[in-house]
Amino acid sequence: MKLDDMLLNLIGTEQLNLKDLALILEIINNTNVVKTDEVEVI
Amino acid sequence: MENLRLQIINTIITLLTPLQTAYPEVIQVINDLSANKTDSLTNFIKTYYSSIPYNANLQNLVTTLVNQGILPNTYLNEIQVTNTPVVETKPEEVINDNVKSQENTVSEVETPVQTENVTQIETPKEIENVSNSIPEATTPVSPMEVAEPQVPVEAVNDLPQEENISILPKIEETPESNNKTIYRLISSKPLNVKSLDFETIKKNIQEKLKNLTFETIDDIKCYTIDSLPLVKPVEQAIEPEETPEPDIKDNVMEIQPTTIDDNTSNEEAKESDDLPIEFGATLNDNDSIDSMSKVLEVTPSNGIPIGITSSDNENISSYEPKEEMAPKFEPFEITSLHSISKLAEGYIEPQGDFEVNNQPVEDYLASKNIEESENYEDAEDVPNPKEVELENKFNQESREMQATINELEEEKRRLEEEKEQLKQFGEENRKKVIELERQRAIDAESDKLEEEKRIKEQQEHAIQLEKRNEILRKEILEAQLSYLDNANKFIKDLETKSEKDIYESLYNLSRIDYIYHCLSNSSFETLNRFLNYLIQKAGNENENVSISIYMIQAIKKILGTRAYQEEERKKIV
Repeated sequence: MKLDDMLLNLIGTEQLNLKDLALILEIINNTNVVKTDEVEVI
Repeated sequence: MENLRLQIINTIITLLTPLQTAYPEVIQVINDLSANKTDSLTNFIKTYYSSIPYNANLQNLVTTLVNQGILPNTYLNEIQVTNTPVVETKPEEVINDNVKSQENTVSEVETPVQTENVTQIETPKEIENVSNSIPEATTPVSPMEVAEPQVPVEAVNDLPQEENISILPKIEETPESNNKTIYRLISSKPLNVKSLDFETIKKNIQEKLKNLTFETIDDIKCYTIDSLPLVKPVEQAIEPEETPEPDIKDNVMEIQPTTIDDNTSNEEAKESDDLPIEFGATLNDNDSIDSMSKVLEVTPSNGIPIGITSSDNENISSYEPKEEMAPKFEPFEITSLHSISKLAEGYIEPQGDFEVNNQPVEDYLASKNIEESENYEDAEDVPNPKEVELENKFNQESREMQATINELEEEKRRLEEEKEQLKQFGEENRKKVIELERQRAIDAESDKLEEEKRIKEQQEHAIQLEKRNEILRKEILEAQLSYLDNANKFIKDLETKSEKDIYESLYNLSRIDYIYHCLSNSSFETLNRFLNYLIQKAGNENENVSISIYMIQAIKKILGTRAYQEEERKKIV
């Protein structure tokens, strides 16, 4: 599953609070992740 | 991914918008987010959400990303730091958490029979007032806790009515506080006792006590609050105009407004013969108990439940928590009607044999804690590789340390044995040394004695040698004297012998010095007579003339020496 799909799935299924969303935003803003949109997360 | 980022930013801004009034810095955070800056958001999260754990699935995802090297290890550390159960909650989480934790209680409160009275409790305005009146006695005030009461009313109004109740002060679920939970449900909203009609309450309780059958009075043990002394009942208390129907619930007995009418009380008692016996209390401000916002669920061990519902809008809103009103407990045993009335006022905390939902209070609160902690179970169930590694490392080090300790103990025991042996060996050696020294002293003494003895023997031997030498010397001297005597005697004999005998005697001496000595001591007539004999004998050719010539020469020398000595003596005379 792609990383963005996993994040979308997480946002859609879990009750995330402000802190969780801030962490996800930080992960997305991370340059390594931006470059690895196609990273396959096992 | 970009769309996802924008979606999350919008969601965060949506969540932050209601908090602008309570948190001025939220405005800056929203502005920065709009400009794609997250520094202020990070600071805000660190300030107010530092102790809030992350979502369990999010933690798993971050852990996976860190393990795959996509994210740096700092994310893992950040998750682990905050991955601990917490007491305080963030502003919007208060709502959700309390909905889950107090859902059962709320559902029990809202019994169908109770609808009219309870509905007034659940207005957001009242809830906010109740939250402001919470005395925070046990935990230090954190920024989050300070901020909780400042949740905007608008945000609360968006929630369902049932969930609004959850904004009531969250009960701290620490083990120490479990026993105080019921107390806080009451004491967080102390009633204005001046508004209570105590005469009515007492009469009502008196009626109810007739039907209340505790096995022993010791079944009820409560705590009272010294710092909240009872206020005398106000004589002008207004009696309730109407008698609401008693609320009946399986495990909840609530204070019901009653009148002084004995018939009504008796009817209620009759109606509740097969149901839990109820206590009733009447508030004169709002005509009934319907304004009570909290429910106390108490069931004695004998199975008779007691529920007290207490709330007063005006009283709660006017209540301001004070330090000096912090609850203090002391053992109190209900032994009188006065004590029961104190229980009805909400100043007494039931303890001991009381039960909730047919369970002991402790078990009920424990199960409640378990339900609330289910949110964190996922995070706890996920094995953290680092923790497992650390645990294995710790166990291995523990085993190594234990092995080292065992080795050291063995070494210590061995050293003690060696020390004991050395001690015994040293004792034996000391004894041997003493024995040797004593033997050496004895030997030295014996050697000294032997030396003295040997010296004495040597001295004796020397003395004996000296004596023998003396004897020998004497013998030699005697022999010499004897020899001289013999020589003198031999020489004298020569004087009387004939010339031929003299010649024979001297010839037998075999040594010319003896011959010369004998001739020198002979008289002049003997020498003259023996010289004539030698001259005659020297003329004879058949005779050995050598000795005769030596004797002639010796006689001439002796005679010449004597003539010279005679002339010298004469010269001297």
